[in-house]
Amino acid sequence: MLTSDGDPELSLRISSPVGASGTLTIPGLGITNAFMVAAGAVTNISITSDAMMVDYDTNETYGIHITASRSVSVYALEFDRWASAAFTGYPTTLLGTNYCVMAHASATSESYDFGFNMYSQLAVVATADNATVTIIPSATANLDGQYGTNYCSTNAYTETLQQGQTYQINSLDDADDGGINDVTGTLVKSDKPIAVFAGADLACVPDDNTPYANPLVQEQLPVDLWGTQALALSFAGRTNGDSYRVLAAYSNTVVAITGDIVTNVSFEGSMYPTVTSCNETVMVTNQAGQCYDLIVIGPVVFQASQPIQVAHFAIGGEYDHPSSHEGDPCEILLPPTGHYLETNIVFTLTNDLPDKSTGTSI
Amino acid sequence: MNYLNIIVPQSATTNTLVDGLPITATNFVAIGTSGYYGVQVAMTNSGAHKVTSSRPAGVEVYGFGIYDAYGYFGGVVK
Repeated sequence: MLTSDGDPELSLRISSPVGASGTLTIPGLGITNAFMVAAGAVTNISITSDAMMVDYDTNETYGIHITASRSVSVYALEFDRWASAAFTGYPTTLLGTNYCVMAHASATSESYDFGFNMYSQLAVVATADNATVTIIPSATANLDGQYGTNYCSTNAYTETLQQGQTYQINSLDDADDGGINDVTGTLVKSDKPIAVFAGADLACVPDDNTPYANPLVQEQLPVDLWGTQALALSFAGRTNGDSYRVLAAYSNTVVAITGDIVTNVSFEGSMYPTVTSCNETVMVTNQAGQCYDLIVIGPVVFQASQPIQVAHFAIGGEYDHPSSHEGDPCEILLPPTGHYLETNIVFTLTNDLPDKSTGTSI
Repeated sequence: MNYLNIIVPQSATTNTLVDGLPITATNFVAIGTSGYYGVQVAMTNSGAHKVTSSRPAGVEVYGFGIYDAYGYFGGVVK
């Protein structure tokens, strides 16, 4: 789990269409947990917050290993009042050795002074011993190394990880360098399969002008599992549209984006935005590691000349619901069209997500 | 509130079930000219949900609360 501010409840939700038994281990914490999941059910396993990566630019041993007798789906949930997030954990058979990171800039301390730094960040878990991991920071990453080291250039550096070891790295906080930093486009390569996670510990979507901030994290698909088409539909209740980010792994990737594309958002004189949109196809050319952001209302098709990764973001809740404050940013990485499961056993939270006790909204 | 966004090929719009109940086919909307159709389904009960379809289905799972949200994708195959 990436670093989180606050006091989150961490859990893994394991499901199976046919039922399975298995074992969850966190070797670095000496934790071994046998589990059963019934056909069509979801087993909820609480994870100690000790498994959260709190340090950065150093090797830790917080990898979580799950084995099961039959195929299972694994979902991770960080439930924290006003600061929840979830992601899908991929099986080792989907992991690879070549990743181009999809993340997001963090909220800036200039706009949101919570008294702690906020970071765009990524993390790596090794699946085998002596994995040599090469990280090539993107031009916007401005990675913050420990002990005076930093990786603000795009020069590659390497880390050697053993099985189950984890390595987390953050961008500089904007208060440190005055910039908006984003690890998106950072390349992570390895000589052995690795799992890569990325996001931001608190982010505003699409930017700080649209409150409020929420954590974003998704496990990354290796580039060889990217595809040339991705599809999505707006999130329910978000009538002013959702934010999308299209990332290219290779230069001169031409992407045709078709949908009801938002061309202007104005908050002038009202807490409710005036949104202008147009049914059209926008053509975009991305270079390797470059991303393109846009807001689309309703169905959207991304069709590309070379493999892309598309992220679907919910925009800050005030964009649609400035009176009720319902909603916050979340992120879902879209797999390429057709690479879908036959049967999905998923979980949803209670409808009072989250509770409305007193506290500071973030 | 919690929701599923489900995307299936057009042929599966008449044969996609959530927790054993069929989705009304007319609720699906075309995703451009991709040949795929999508639908938003509001989930009134928390916990496990089963999405079955005559073709593989893309499922976004998400929920919104006051100042909060979460979301993830149902699953990926090669």
